[in-house]
Amino acid sequence: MKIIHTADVHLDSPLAGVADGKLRRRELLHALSNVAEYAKNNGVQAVIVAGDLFDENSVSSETVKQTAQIISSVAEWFILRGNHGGKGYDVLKNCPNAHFFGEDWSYYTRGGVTIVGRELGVKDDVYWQKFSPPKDTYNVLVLHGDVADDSYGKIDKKVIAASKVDYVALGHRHEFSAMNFGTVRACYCGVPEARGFDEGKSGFVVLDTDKNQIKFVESYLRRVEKIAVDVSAAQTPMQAESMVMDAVSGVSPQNYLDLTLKGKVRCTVDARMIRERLDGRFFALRISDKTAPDVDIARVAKEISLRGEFVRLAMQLPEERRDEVLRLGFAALDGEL
Amino acid sequence: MKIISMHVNAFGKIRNADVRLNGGLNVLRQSNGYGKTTLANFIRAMLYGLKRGGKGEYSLSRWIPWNTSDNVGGTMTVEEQGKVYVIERVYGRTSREDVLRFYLKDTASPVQTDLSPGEYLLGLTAESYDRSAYFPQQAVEMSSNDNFGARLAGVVQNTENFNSVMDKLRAYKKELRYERGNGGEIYHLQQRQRELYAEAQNRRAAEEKRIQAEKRLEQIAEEKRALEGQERQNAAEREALQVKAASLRPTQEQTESQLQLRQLAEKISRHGNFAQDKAECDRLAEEIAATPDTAQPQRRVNVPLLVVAIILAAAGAALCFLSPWTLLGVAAGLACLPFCFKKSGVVTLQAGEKEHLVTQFFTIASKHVQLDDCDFASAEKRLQAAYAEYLSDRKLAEALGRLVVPQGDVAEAERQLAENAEKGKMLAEKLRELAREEGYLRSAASDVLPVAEVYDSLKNVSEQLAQAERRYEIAQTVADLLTKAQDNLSTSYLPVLRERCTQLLCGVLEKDYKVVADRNFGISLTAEGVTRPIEEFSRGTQELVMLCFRIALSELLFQGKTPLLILDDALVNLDEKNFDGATKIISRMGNTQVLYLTCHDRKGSLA
Repeated sequence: MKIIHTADVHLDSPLAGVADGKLRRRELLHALSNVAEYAKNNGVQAVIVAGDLFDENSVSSETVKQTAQIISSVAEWFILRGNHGGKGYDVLKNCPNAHFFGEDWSYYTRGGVTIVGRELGVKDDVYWQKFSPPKDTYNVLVLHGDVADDSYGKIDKKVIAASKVDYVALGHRHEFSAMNFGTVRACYCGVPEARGFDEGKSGFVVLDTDKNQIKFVESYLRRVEKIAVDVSAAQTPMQAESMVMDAVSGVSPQNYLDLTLKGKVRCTVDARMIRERLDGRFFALRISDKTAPDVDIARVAKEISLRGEFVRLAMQLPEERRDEVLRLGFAALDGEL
Repeated sequence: MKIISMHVNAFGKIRNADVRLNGGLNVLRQSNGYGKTTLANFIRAMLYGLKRGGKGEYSLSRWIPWNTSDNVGGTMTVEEQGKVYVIERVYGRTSREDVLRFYLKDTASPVQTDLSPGEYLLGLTAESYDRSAYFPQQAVEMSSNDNFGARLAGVVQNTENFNSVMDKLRAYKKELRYERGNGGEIYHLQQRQRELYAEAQNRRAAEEKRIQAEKRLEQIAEEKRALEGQERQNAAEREALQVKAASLRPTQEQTESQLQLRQLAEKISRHGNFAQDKAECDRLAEEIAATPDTAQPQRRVNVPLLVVAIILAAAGAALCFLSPWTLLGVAAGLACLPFCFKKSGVVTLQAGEKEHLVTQFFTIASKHVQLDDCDFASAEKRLQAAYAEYLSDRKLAEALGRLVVPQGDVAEAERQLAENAEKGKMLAEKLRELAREEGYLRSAASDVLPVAEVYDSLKNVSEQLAQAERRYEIAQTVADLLTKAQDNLSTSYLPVLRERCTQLLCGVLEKDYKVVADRNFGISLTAEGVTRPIEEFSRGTQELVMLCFRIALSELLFQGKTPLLILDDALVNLDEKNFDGATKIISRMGNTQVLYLTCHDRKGSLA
């Protein structure tokens, strides 16, 4: 049996920093439609949505209606709400081929495969004690939570390993990753379409229970292109800007551009000026200024001067603030503020 | 470090020049414009290089020769800790063509270092070199506008003007957030954020209303369908009723007949139950006809005899069947019966019995016919005629009744039509009401703006706000650190500088001066027990004190003795007395290679 594992679609979520939020939200819905299309064209019998299909209260009735149409068009859908609930699920319950998970374990067995899951967050320990998947089926466990920290629905790796299920379909973390907990395989399936810059490749996982194989199918309408530009060689801010413009010339305007400025620079690199030049050229733009002054901080710290004393004091700051403080401090001392 | 020799290929106005220096005092006395300052800058350029781009003393563009295509550059040979180093620099048209060779002279092996030759040899950055080894004229010169403390602070801190730095920082912070009152990017973003929150709430509420409106619109559509169905049905009924009413509507003839019928009906009803009355009258007439006009005597009955007769008759009847003798008895009894009745000798007349009957006849007949002044025979005839007319009227009425439509049917049809019309009006009114409500709901629903776009803006604004707040926080940290750095400098180094400055001063001046410095670089001099601000002393004294401070700082930066000191007409403004004092100070700087550049003849204690 082929199963699609997807999650974290976040339909109708607010979007910051994109050229057209309305269009992008339509594209999220389109991505879900692509999942259904893939299912139809590849004989997929079940689609697991491991949480956060909607983005809570911002989901519109029109989006819910269209989602219901997509769901109703193919396969059986097994849906976990996750930590972004919302009223939209009440409408989806009218879809005859949509099945939901609740606080207690829900088991759905189809042709030798059992899909089981529950909503985490309430009496998890108690419910884990009750967990008992069938022994004669291929068992797929569906959960929405974090195996790393307690922020939401903490998933204990040892408990997962002890569950002895065949595959764990996870949601909540947006970047695709495949893991093993003992003999148990698990995946965070990624997102069908990226909304932000930090979600990695977009797509979904296809699980073949007959062959016990998983594969990540990349799928996107827009990609996040990460470009890092070393502006160390720039002698002037204009040169730094030119270097950036050259580096991004090959990026499609349809995509997201995640631009990082790095290197040790002698001149002041004004990230805001670069942003102004690039604004509107790409669907979404993020600029991170990771440049540092081309100064031997250790040497400057030995100087008997205001700059030297300032550096000595700044070195006591936490690292994540230190570079920003030094950059601004030097700009102030050099009269470039 | 000691400079041994220099060869200038091309640097400013100097072209192809060689200079050799000794380890102690070197005096270069030339007129203005000779290139003394150029030479001083050449030394710095060899040690620390030149910047490409920009303008100023340390920029390559400043020293590109005018009338030649020679590249800026040259060679400098120095000695440091017993080793001789060579620094060769050439600046090409582009940075790729620049050459720096820094190597040991005897082995020609390059010095393995990432530091500039100046940092490697002197242990100082270029900025520290500028404050410690090179004294241009401006280093010591005090103009009337100068604030001594600020100048000194600038030198010690290596910042032209700390207050100016802090002012710019304050201005930067103010763009982000006003210190007092409402303003700045953060304030405006917060305001915008609040507006967007409110807008989002309004749109959410409007969205809820829209959803309710859509539900109601669906209901309205259902109701409209039902009402329109009823309307169609009503219209069909109306058509049928109109056809029916048209068929029931009487013709002119029928209307006249109807009128005639109404009149006949009235006439007939006035007679009431004529048939019954006629029958009674007929009976009375018969009785009248049978009643004689004279009276007849009345017969009286002999009652006792009657009784006996009856008994005998009854007994005889009972015994009839016993014997013939009884039968004879019965016959005898019966023969007696007539004798029971005998004529009375009294005759009673019933006065007017016939008249009484006639009166009854007239009473009844007059209900139907006019009988004034007529006799019975006439009355009878009239009654008969009236009755015949009555019967004829009834026949005619019957016939007419068959012709005309009952008024009730037409009225009923009209009533039904009116009812149908009323219903039609009511349905139409309801439909209009629903249409109005539908129109209102549609326009209200279409005016609803999507909430998601507000959330987009809100997210954008929130991110911008977070970034602005972070920038402000960083700026505040920088301001705090700079203030603390200034404080640390004055706390840590000012006492040392003050002490050394006092030593140097006392060494050359007749009076014992004590330099007093506060943490804000406010300098005073105590002489003969009186402490006065430095600004109250002569300009020459101020310049001397400044020179002492510069030398003290130089020693501090070099962590002891100053290896190299270039004085570029730094003492030109001092009077003889102060000039002597200043040169005495310099001459006592043992192990310091001094390059004294001047356009004047005086040497003072440097002779």
